Amino acid sequence: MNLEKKVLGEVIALRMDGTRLDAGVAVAFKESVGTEISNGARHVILDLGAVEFMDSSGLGAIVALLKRIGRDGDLVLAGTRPAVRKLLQITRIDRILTQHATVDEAARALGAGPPAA
Amino acid sequence: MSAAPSPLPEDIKLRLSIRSDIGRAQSELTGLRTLILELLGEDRGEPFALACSEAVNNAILHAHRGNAALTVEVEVKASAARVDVSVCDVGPPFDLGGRIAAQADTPYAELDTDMLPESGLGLFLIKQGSDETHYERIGDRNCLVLIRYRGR
Repeated sequence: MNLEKKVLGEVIALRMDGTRLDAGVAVAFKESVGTEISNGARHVILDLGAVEFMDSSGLGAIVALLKRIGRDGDLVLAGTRPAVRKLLQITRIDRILTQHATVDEAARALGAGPPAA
Repeated sequence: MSAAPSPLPEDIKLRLSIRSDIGRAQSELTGLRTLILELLGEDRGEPFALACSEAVNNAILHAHRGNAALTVEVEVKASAARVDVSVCDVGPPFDLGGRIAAQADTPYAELDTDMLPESGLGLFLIKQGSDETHYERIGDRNCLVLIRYRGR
């Protein structure tokens, strides 16, 4: 499980490279994103464009990160595919967790500056 | 529009013996999901594939406590009417059927972020993604059968 990081001013976008955010990778995913939050990231886009399948462990990791960033920042999703959107709907977490179609759209919504050189 | 389910022979059976290693098990669950999507199509198959993954992960993490010496036995039966997936472990007796039936309609009724649950969603997803579930203690095994009807 690897995360590709893109800095957009005050916003960072983290793209997961695997096709599954499941019980096998959820802990590593939570730790990797959590490290970015510990290092000061407060406006985070999780780019799930490659993720075809997410289970309860993956969703639990995202919920934990959402709680961790708290009211001092934002954690939003971008590029979610149908199976992931369905999971968010079934659990009704979609009422709480903001989704955007693309990273660019999410970045604009979070007021991102231009990409870092 | 989702892909239509593929035509089925009258009865298909598949048996998987999945070692209780949560990392390695996911590749086998990927194959199980592919089969279920072929049998049921995306609309009905995707929630069911998720339910089956949750059942296997529960067996590995909670019944077997990640003991890689133990295996979870999975059997898939398919007919023109429905797909049955049984998931059996050798953990201690557990009222899995009662726990699934008791799941609320939504785990995220709470809108306060601080109060959101980070775990315990698996049984909810098993209930939501299956048309029926049956739990049985057979000898030293817990067996959960998840059923999804085709074209309901």
